[in-house]
Amino acid sequence: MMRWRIAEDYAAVVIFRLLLAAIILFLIVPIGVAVILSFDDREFIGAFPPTRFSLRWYRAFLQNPNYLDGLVVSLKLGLAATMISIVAGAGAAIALAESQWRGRDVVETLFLSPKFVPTVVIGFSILGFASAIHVFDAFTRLVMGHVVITIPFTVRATLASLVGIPRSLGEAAVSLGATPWRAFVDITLPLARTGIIAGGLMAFVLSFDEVAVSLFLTDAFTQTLPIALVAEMRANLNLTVAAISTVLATLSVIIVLILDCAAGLDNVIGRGMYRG
Amino acid sequence: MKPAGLQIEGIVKRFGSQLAVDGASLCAASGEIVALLGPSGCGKTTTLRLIAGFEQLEAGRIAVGGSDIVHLPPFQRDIGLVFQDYALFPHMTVAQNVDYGMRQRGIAQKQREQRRRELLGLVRLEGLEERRPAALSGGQQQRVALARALAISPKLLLLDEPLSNLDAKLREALRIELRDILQAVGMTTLVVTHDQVEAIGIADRIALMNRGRIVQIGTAREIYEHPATRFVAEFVGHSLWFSGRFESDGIRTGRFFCDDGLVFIVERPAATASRCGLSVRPEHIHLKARSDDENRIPAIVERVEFFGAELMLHCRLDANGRLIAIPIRSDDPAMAGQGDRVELGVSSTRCRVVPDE
Repeated sequence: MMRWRIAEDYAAVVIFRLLLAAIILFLIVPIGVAVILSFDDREFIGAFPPTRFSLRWYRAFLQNPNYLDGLVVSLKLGLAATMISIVAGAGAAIALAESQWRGRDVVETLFLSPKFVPTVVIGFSILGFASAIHVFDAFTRLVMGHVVITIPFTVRATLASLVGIPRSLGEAAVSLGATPWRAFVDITLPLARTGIIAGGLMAFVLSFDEVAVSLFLTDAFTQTLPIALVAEMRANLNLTVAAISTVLATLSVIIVLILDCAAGLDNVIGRGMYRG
Repeated sequence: MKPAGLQIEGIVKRFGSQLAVDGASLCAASGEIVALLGPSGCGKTTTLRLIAGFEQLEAGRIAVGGSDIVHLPPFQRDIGLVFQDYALFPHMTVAQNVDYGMRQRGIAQKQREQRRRELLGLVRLEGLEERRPAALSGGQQQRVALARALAISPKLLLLDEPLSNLDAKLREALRIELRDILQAVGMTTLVVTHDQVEAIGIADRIALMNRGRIVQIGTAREIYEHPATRFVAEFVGHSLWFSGRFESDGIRTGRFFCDDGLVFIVERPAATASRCGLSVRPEHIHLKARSDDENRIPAIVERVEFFGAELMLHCRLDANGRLIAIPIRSDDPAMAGQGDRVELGVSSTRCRVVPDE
């Protein structure tokens, strides 16, 4: 009887580990395949693995004006959206943290809701809204859309870092003669800084990789890199896509690593349902 | 006449429908250390926050050094505040923490450095200027907080439960040290605490607070020996409480008839309330009545507890079967053992008739 139990336990542990390994493989292997293919020297998409390696698809990336324009747009868009998202998101988080009125939780949920709304819905809504307020410039529209999808992350990250700051610190500064604004700049802001920066980096990564919302908001002249990628893929599929994917993935990994070192990833994307 | 260091008159503060402070009045002379003592929820922290300006007053007046401060925002009140959690700025060094208030006042670096050196010397933290608060012990953090509050040369110093975050041993040492520092500085100080030992150890006078009001102000001895109400008698030290009624039988004395049949000869109270009772400190009861003890109460020792220097004798009174605990020194010649019959004695001068509120 006892022995059976132990065997059952053992089997469960083995099955669980296998499942975990399968999931990890499922997540990693396609990316690995893309990375390897990006160095393929063959002109066509041939059988895996490649037989010869070269950097030809990276050169193709750098020689295609569509991609380069897209890269510039994506970078500008990422920076603009991140800046706005940081200022608006951190501001909202600070206001939320200070206030104690009843509607507080509702407003907080509202700020975090773009996380849960389908991006297609957001994209379409922004498109409609932009035309309703007579904004027809694609870049402005894109900034609007990207601010909406990134703001939950800057709000969340700032809120998480503000929660750890005792109210008495600000009061101490005020009792020592600092105006509330001065106390905020000297005490609250430096202590919340890591959280704010982390949220900003997260926002940038998100904006840079975004496809669905951008799909609605770009036009023929203003395309983000991921959109240019999708368009190019449809027109003329080759391994430049793999090269660009590799570049994007590397960039994301670097930023996420910086994030994790600086603030802890948990603080930025939330701690799940069970908070310790 | 020198203006009072701190003067509070009839201050009122409500949270929703809850009266947190209900017309409290208090006066501290310039340079005096006053403790605001009371149980949790009595309104003492709210009073402190009202003085500091973090809460808005609804009625009443608060004056520091003779001038009204109610209309001033907290950052213009010139009040040094030591928070219960010390509230040291974690991203600044000890020196930067102490300097912070002086910087806000635009004091030149040279004077700042000199004042900082003086203060860190006073609180015995020389050499720790470049440490971060996280690298200090609890006691050191508290002294940094004190130095930081003193650095702005405030007109008034407020301490919120200054010793409650420290462990018991450290608390005792720091209590004496804190008292010495405060006396050396000579600043008007209000110490908010729920711990009577802390209040007695640090303050010149104690203001007892209950349900948003100041119930009694006096030195520790005055409060201990002449409690104004039942609350004071039971909150400060131990008290045996007998409800009943007082009848005067002369200019200085009277009789107190307890509801349960005992009669005490007592000193005549200064004032009699409609509902009053008799408060006797257990340590004023003699295990064997002395010749000048007017009140003699036969009892039997039911249980003896040993606490080292002190013993606690639980005696059952013959008259009403009530069990009372009397502390006596373990070397007291009047010692009695379990089961012994005793005649407890207490002097009329130790029996206090006080209002039951």
